[in-house]
Amino acid sequence: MKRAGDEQGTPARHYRVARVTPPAGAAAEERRLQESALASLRSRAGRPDALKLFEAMLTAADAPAGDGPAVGVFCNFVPAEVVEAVGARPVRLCTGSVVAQSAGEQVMPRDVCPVARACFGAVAARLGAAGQADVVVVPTACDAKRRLGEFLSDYVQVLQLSVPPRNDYRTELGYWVAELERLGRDLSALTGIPLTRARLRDAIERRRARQDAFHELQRTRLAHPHVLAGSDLALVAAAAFSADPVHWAEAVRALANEVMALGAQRPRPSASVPLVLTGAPLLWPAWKLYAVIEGAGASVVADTLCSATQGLYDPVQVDEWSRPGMMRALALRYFSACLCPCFMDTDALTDRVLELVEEWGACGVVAHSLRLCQLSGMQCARLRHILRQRSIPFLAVDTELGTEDVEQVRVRVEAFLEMIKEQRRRQ
Amino acid sequence: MKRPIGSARRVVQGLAFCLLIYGGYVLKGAPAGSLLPRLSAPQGSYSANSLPQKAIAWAPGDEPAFNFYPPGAACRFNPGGGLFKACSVHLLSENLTWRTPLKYLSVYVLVFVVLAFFLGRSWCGWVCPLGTMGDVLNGLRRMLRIDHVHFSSPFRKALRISSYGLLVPTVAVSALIGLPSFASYQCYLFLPYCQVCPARLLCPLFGGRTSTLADFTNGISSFLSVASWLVLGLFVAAFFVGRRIWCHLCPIGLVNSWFNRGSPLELRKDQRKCNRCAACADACPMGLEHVTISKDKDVLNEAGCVLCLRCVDACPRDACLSVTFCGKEFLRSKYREARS
Repeated sequence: MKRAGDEQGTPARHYRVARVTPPAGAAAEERRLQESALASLRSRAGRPDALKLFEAMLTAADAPAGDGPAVGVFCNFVPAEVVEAVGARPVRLCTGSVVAQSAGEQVMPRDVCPVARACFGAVAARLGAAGQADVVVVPTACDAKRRLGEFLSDYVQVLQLSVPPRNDYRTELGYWVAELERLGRDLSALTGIPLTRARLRDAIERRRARQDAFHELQRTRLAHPHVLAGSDLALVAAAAFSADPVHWAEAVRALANEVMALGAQRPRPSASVPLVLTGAPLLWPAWKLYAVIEGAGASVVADTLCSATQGLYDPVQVDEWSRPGMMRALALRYFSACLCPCFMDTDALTDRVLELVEEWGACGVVAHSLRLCQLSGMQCARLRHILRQRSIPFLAVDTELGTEDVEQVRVRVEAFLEMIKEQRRRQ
Repeated sequence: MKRPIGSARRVVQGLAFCLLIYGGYVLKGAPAGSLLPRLSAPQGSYSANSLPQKAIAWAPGDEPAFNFYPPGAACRFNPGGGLFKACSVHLLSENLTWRTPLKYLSVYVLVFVVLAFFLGRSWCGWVCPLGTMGDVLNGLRRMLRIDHVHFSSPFRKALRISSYGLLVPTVAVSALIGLPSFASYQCYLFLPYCQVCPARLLCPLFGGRTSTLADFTNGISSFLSVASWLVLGLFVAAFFVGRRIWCHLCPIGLVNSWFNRGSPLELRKDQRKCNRCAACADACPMGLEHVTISKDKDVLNEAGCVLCLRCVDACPRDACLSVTFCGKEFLRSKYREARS
């Protein structure tokens, strides 16, 4: 398979913008970023040993497991089952790397979504896992993603999935199923393997092991929430983006067993402040918010982030194993059940936040408001009102991928936690 | 995917089918059979000779084991008289035509209303032998991996209006021919819906009786025979391609649907736990969407719902959907692992 930029002197498209060169020492810098993020995770005492498996999966993302061409995907909208059913392997390209971001700024303006800049830079400069993606699937979830697809099409073959702004399954499901069918056709044209009923069923059943294992881990965590840190859960989730689903599921079962064993040994600390994390994705390795929250003595017990547990939450519920029935089930799972604030109605997201606060006994909600992302910014504003009415403490952290503002973030988070502790004392 | 409620329902449906169709042979003469008043006089006058369509005539030995009309479409034409007397449409038709004294009729109606009130339309989803036969056709389609046809909400509404279009004339005609001045039409118009009902063709067949299948002795009976086959064809096609789309048209189901709201058997939803995945809507054999889209109601009993509870099986969220009887929860949705 050829990449658009590989043919020397013959631009794949008439409007080709510019060549993006990886910055000098990008690979080393990228590794340093990852190592420092991992070091922050490892600094916590008494982590379960099974997490090493996930660290290895995450850092081996440059060479994901499996055969077949690598299909780069963005967002939780792209059904990995369809990609796998046509003999390709999905590689999640969403990145929070500032190295990729600065590479992206060779072409993209600086005042657009930082994630779009980083994702673009990673693919255009072929950094990390993005370096091996032969084709990239970009759902048009937000304005930045809509443009991102076109920007990327100058460098790599891009398949865009058009996401309707309304996720009412009654009116939009047929449209979304047609988009998935189109994706399946385009991908099978690349691999030469048709999207048959039997192959799709295999892929769905194989992937289901992931959801099952994750639900077991969550049940264990609910009983022993103090054993596994929120950042470690995010590590588990981030590793799922590229790892082989069966291998990942086995590792998660092992982790669940270890959490169970450790939970029985260790008493639950009373001082910790359990929080629910919501808002824009916290993409590896830009995990300073986790580091700040956990460094300040609080813990992220649950989240609604598409970069963390959200993608592992809902199973594909197939009612009829006919091919249209399976495509419908995939559409329902990846579209109807999606909590992305790009949709017109975000009540589902609000409900989930309130439900998680109750289920996990959280003392407050922290929202990651990604700078320059209007969707998460406006969602945070609405959530603030809703949570205030219910007297649930809420903090929106407006930040970017880099670590320049880490001290400001720390001050805000610490003040927020102090407020919660003060409230606790008074009660 | 595991569907424990679905498996239980299949067992109940199988048992109910056998009881309704063959129970008449087994339980005839059971002491409980004489608890309710037994009407003897009127039906005797509708011998095979006085009706143009012999298919709906009583055959000797057609006495049911239990002399009442349950909401679960017990067909009067079941072999050996069946376990129960007949369905609700039959109850209305024959008693209006016969002008059954109120002291008898009120007992029949009361028994029916109590049974329908407590279990709502779950009679359709769990007991009705027509529904069971339809589910077999539906299962055949699923085994062949053919996708079902989804009918739009306006179409389903049109079917519901049509079911009134079947029930209201049936009742009106039955009442009218009960009047002395129209009594001469009784021989043509007795049990008007039964003359085309698929149960009247199918239920006797399971007992090996073929006399109800066709009657070409005269023009009227030939016309009605052909008409009933066409309806049967529609019935088979509807169940084969459209899951339970037929049940939106069924007048027996319509009568049951009046008891669905306000029944102590309730389908409930915890709104906050819902992830809007619409797996419930995808699994609904009636093609209903209200379980997914309802945002402010806790109780989801709706006229069209046959309470088959496939939605509760399909829901992947712990305790999002639940079923209560008199406020006591006895079933709830839960995440089910594919293996184990």
